[in-house]
Amino acid sequence: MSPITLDLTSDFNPANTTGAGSSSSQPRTLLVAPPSVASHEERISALFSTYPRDTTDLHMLDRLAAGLVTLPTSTYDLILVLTDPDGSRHAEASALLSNRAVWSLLVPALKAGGKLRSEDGTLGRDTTTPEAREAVLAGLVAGADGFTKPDYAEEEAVPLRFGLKRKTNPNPVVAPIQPVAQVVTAAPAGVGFVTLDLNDDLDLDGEDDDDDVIDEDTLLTEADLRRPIQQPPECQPKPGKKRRACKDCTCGLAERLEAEDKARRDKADQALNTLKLKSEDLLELDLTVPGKTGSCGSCALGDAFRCAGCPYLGLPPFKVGEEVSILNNVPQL
Amino acid sequence: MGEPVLAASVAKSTTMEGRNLILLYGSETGNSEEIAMELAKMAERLHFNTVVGEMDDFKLTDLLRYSLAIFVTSTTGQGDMPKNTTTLWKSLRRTKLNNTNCLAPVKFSIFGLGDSSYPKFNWAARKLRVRLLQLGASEFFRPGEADERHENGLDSIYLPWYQELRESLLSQFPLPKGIEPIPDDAPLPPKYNIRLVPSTGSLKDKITNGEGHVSQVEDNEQLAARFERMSTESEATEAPGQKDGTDVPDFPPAKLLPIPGSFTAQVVCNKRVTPEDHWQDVRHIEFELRSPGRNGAMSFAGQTLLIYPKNYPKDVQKLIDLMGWSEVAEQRIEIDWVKGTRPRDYHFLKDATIRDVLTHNFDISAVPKRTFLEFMAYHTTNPLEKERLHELTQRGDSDEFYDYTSRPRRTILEVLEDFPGVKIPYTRLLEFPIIRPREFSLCNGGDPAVNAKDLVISNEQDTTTTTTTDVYKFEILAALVHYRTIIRKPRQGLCSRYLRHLPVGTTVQIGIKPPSSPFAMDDPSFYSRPLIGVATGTGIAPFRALLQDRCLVQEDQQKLGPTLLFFGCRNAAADFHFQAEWGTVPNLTVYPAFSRDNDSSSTEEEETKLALQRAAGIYDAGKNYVQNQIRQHAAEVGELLRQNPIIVVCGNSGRMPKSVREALEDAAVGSGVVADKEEAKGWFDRKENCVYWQETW
Repeated sequence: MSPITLDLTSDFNPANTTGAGSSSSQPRTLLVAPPSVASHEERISALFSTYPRDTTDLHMLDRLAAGLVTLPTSTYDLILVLTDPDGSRHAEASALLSNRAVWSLLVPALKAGGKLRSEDGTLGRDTTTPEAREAVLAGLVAGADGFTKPDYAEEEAVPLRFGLKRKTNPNPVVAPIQPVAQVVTAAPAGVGFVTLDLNDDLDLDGEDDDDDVIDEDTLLTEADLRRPIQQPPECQPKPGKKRRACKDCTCGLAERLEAEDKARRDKADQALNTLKLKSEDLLELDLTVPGKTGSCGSCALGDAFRCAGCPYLGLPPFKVGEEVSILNNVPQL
Repeated sequence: MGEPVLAASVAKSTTMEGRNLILLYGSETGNSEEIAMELAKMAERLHFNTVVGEMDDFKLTDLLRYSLAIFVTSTTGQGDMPKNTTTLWKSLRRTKLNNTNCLAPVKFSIFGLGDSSYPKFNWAARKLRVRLLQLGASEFFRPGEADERHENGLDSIYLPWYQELRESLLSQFPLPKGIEPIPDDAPLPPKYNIRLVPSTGSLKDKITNGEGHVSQVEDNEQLAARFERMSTESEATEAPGQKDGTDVPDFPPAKLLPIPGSFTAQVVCNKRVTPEDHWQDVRHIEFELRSPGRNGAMSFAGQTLLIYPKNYPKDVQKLIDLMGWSEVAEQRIEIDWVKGTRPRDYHFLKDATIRDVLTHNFDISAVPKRTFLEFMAYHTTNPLEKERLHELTQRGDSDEFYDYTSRPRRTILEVLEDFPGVKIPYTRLLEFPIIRPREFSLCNGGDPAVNAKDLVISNEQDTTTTTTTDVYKFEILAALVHYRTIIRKPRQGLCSRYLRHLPVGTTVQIGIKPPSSPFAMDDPSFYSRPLIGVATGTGIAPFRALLQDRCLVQEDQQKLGPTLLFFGCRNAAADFHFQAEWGTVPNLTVYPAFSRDNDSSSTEEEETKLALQRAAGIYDAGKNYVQNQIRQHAAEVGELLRQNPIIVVCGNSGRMPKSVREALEDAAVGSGVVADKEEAKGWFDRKENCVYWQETW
């Protein structure tokens, strides 16, 4: 990249708040706010006077918890949880901070050595609270004024899974911070960066297993939940045509079909009974006797060829002249 | 080895430069696989050079090599991708591909299979589609989303989509002059070659053209490595079950299939838990598994046990007779696969004969799919049969097909009996559907290891060593399927029939599947959070496992989160499963709903009111179902809802899950947790409010 872009860039994107962790001299801050802060604009503008707009990002805790936000990795020097200085919003924030998903987003976004604290300064003081436990589980170290991300080379813990593979494993592996030259617009894995060139050697099927992956839950939104179910082209029931019941039929069709089947079976049973030659329980049909194979001539064939009222319906095909034994209503064919 | 042998009448598709298509499927139960196979055949008939396989069989670069790609995937668990897509899906999600447009050359279409009784309907297909578009791929044809709940099941959406796709392919990628699509009544060549081999020699099934099929990396591999594999055939038990006075002289042989990641276990208990006069036979079955050693407790709650049922020898013999295979039945076979076409889940015994694979691998008592009947039509010379088969499989009239097959639950074997002219050559054996494992939720949790036992294990050299071994116990609760249709012979599920007669002492091969649940067993809050369970029938299984798990891990059981169980069944006396155990669980309140134990002391006026409600479509008006119990105890439910509970809904699919969800929403409103029904709708989907796990079947 040409050095000229450097000058332009620094003047050009003051509004780009999510990106450009370019200058190491400027500490970057992430403010995370419980939902009720949103209605107090004055609080937010006050905060931006302390934390300059161009090096500070703001995200709502509930959106983080819902997995709607993607944060760049290893970007922030400070994550500040807005609780109001007097801690009046602390309870609201801590409810959301007991959610493990929030920590799995926040911690990777923190630079090694970065700090996470609450506005009222109490976060981390009591390590028995649920949010503190989550913070520690997520790899932070508790201190007097908040949590610190340990500054040692990232290593990946390999959990012994033993067949218990979690489907929802946000657990993004934090890439070590690249020593970036000032020129390059560093691209933390956020949104809206055009970086890789297709023609450059993008290894589509990189062998390295450690690749950071996006959280699949971010791909779909609430709107997708409400998307209407596709209807078949001719969904409107055709009169006299609808004969198949839905899987969880509520309209009575399923019962009607069942009754219909039973009636057909009973009728066939009855017809068959009149053909009985021996005892009540065991009968042998002598199909060599004319008239016993039905007038259509298809009775001896399988159900696929029998007529609707065939007395042999539901029985396997047989050879004319063969003995068919039926024991107590259970055919032994 | 060598080229597949082509029958003389088989039509081969013409190879055309740049006209190729790749079909990738993600399948759990085989529906997506079948649709993918059918789409592949259609593409082949349109002279696309077609490759079809599981998503994990391919890499991203493979996508770029084909002019078109079609994805077919079902959704599993809670909106998750099927297991055989894990690798490719992970590869697609790598953040370094963001904004690279790396899939810009890919033209794709996607077909999803789902069930709208689940809140995350067709989620997998939707996620995949969004990601493909994000990476620059473009859609050449509209996505299809099939719903199991439609009148004709998946077909309602699939069949018209198939037709339109075919037309779209023909118009967007027209065939050159003089080349016509291969007609549907000309069979395509098989993708494999089955050969008989002499009874000596090594008989592994081989793959032609190199690049062997990479066997799936199983989640259970580590687990498998830890368990001892017991010697197999020697333990075969063929003792017939004598239960129910049913004589089963021909219980399937206990040969063990070499299924990757599976375990050898022994049946130690198979007892009926419902009274003999109850309509349903529910079995509590226990398996024991031996492990040479262990370190620490293991948790299996939420996991699923896979059982591989088998065909009865009598049925296998019938098929052999019908097809005229008696000359070759005892011969060993070897299969050559055309590259990239090996279907999944074919795990043949070593040195398998035709009879072996028919007994252990092919589901001859499945209800045939349309494609199977179409395939049968190629193999009969009887014009009457051919005509009838064409009638039955006409896409315009699926009622005819449905009335003959699914409605009476007619099996492949019975259909073949009806068409005695159909003689399928043994070389097309693989057209039969494969027996897939049946899944049962484990009903025991906690640490499944029972006391260590000293077991005597003899190894191959016949020297005897005594080793301390741990025995793990896995329990399931299985409701056996048995009912009547227009067909005189009662209908039984393949697995139900197998389990009904499965003798204690039998050695079986079982699989264990990780949970689809968002359980976080390593999360301490999991045990202290409140738990609301809603279960019907055998749906109690995963819930019981969960309870046992909580009791085990939480040392101070008084600290266990409060637990509410709404359990629905028919009668207090018949199917109130595990009733005796509930009293010993701390902090548990059970509200049973006995749907058939109603006292009918209501007044005439009430009856009229109920009749009106039912007529208006409120099917559960006045009934004692779980949802009615939830509404009755809304205040208690609400109290737990405020404490970030875990909610587990297990049992029948169908209307239960929806009705339960409705009832929970009503309870949230009624107890003031949310302001109104509108707010309640999304409330249960948000992780910060609760974990909502639904496991229905």
